[in-house]
Amino acid sequence: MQVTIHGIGIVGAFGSGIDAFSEALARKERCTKSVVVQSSSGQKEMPFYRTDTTRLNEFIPRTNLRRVDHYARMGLLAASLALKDSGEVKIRRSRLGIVVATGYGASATTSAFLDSFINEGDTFPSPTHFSNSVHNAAAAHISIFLKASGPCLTVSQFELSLASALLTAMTWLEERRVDFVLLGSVDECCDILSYCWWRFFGEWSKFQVEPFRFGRQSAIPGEGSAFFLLSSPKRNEGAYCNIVDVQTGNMKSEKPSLSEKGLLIVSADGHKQCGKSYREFLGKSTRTVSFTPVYGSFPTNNAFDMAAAALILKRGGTFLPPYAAPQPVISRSKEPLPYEDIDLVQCLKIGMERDFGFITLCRT
Amino acid sequence: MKKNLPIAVTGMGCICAAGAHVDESATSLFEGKRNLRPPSRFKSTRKETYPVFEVPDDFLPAKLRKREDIHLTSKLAVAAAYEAIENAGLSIGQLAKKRVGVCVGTTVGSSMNNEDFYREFRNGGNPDMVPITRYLRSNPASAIAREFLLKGPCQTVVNACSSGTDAIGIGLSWIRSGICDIVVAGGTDELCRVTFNGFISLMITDDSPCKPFDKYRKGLNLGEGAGILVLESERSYQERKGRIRSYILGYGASTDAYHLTAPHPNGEGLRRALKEVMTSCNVQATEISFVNAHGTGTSDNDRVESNVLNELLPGVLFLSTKGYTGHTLGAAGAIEAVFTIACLEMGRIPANAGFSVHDPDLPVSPVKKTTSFQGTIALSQSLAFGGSNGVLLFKRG
Repeated sequence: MQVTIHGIGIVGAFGSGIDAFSEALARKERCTKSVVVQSSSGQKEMPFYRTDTTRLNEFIPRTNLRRVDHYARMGLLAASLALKDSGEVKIRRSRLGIVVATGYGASATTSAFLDSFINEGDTFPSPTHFSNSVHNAAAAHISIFLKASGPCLTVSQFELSLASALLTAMTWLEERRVDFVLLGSVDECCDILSYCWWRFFGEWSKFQVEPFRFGRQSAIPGEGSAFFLLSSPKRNEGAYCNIVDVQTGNMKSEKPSLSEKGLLIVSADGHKQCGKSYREFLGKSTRTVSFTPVYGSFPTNNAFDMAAAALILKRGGTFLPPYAAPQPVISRSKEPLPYEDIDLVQCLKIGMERDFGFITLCRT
Repeated sequence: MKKNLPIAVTGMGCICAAGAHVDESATSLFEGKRNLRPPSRFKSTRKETYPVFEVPDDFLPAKLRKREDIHLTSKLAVAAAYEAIENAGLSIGQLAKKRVGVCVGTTVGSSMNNEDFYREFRNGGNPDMVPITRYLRSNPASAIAREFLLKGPCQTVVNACSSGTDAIGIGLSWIRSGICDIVVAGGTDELCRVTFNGFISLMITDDSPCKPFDKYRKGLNLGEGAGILVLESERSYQERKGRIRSYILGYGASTDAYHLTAPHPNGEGLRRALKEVMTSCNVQATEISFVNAHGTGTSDNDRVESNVLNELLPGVLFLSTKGYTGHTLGAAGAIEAVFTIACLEMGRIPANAGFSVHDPDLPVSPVKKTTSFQGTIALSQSLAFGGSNGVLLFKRG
């Protein structure tokens, strides 16, 4: 089971579009925005990778977006960018499927719906907030605005959401249920999630995610969306790469099948609890990088790892400057990584309960 | 990938307001019991009463009832999974030797919407984190995988009201593609104030027992429950001489790409999903014995379904079982799949509860009384918020 990536759309704190992402990786961009968090000792301003979706107006008139919330806007923008990025690829919209991965769904709108009946009483809950609070709201808006009428699915499996969704996208393509799939991730950060974050982890790092300092809690919450236009293996000059395998499992009973030749991108995003599992697994691996300081921590940030992997495989050495790893470390390697000779990249995400998603990509 | 290979259902479980397990639920359906009452686990300040199909606490096995680590949605899923796995004649030891995946649909089960927690947070308090920890432990597919020590792929589908149907369809693909030997697939959902208030806000909730396809239908009644199927590869059930209750012949899926909450007025998506499954399985309308329709009792849904069924499956018997269970959201497609298989085994379908007066705007109406049939093939279909349509085609085992 293999699939080809024809286009990528991505939106995060760094901006929107694959070129903005590429530049952010090159700049080793850090978190510069903040969020006000409610805590027992009053409100605190904390760093946060906030995403701006203003660019969505390039694709959809603003008036049509009045009832579309931030969660769905991120997904809409990334999905629209993925189609645009795929250029000349011809797609019958009735043969275009959508699979969306999300960790927490439309959390802000769920809160807004609760607000509507807490404030106004049970008699006046907001129907707009309710209908947009369902996890598949982003996928629904994407299907409506992009007129994609193939099957449409949303999957929520916390840190394993992307790997799980990818499995279904690959299966759909293999059984020819569709010709193309827009596979994507969407997760947002909001007041209630920030609060939970603070309660679970205390005050978080004010400086930088330090992915390879496994014993230290340095995670900073983020949000964003990444979409990939996938098909069965197809020759296409503009294609990024192929996805050749996806594995899910639990580190307690099995380990991902790591290639000795490739590059490993880990979603180590500064969570001490997950850091232990990464440390154990990475013992034998040498060529390992993490780009989480560019987009922060959220359940589906491995979609951003997958986008980085696709860029490395497509653009090779011309894309990223060497990650010589000044402190704080981004790469475990102290030497510049020779991206141009990499034909295979693997992306590993480990969850809080040691469950993992492992995706292997290679050159077309 | 064996694209159109029929896949065996070797076990099934169900818990809903109609019964604590499959046999009890089926008996209730044929006896016409409708266990409808005002919600007992939460209160509403509304003057009007909207009855629901609630699962009585004692329907859950005692050991599950006492558990506090997972929420009710997952308890319902685990309860139905116990019945389904036992019904399939599988032991934990046997499961450990096979590649067993879990694919479960839900809506409430993946939503962080604990109202008490949120109220205290909003008021500047420091609410206890237990509800959040419980939510993080309660992903329904993960809860089943943990309970039965399953190590295959694990997926919770959150596709609104077609989640249960879609989850079974995905499980079907996992077996066909050789990813799994067995898939525990289905759907689960619990009643809560969020969905209760939400559906009332959309003005599609009936304040009396729902009347799917009836001229005087006023909307849906919410329900809760879980339905689980054990799907199994030929090699797996032959090795252990498992019993086949049914085959899933195929799964069709499409999207209306039309509106967030309303179905396409011409049923475009449903029509494509139905055509897809019938074409891929090479099944003609005349071979289909009955359709277990989505039949929520809302004006739009029932009109669209009636029109599409009249066009594509003229003369085929159909019913909605939501008059016995309520609309169980993410569980609906799975519970209805269980009922479809049970009816295929019995050779009869129950009356469409709540239906009595033909609506002249609908070209066809459901069965009014228990009706016997001759064939071996039946359909179960689901429509959802977001425009998703899912259809499963079953054959008697």
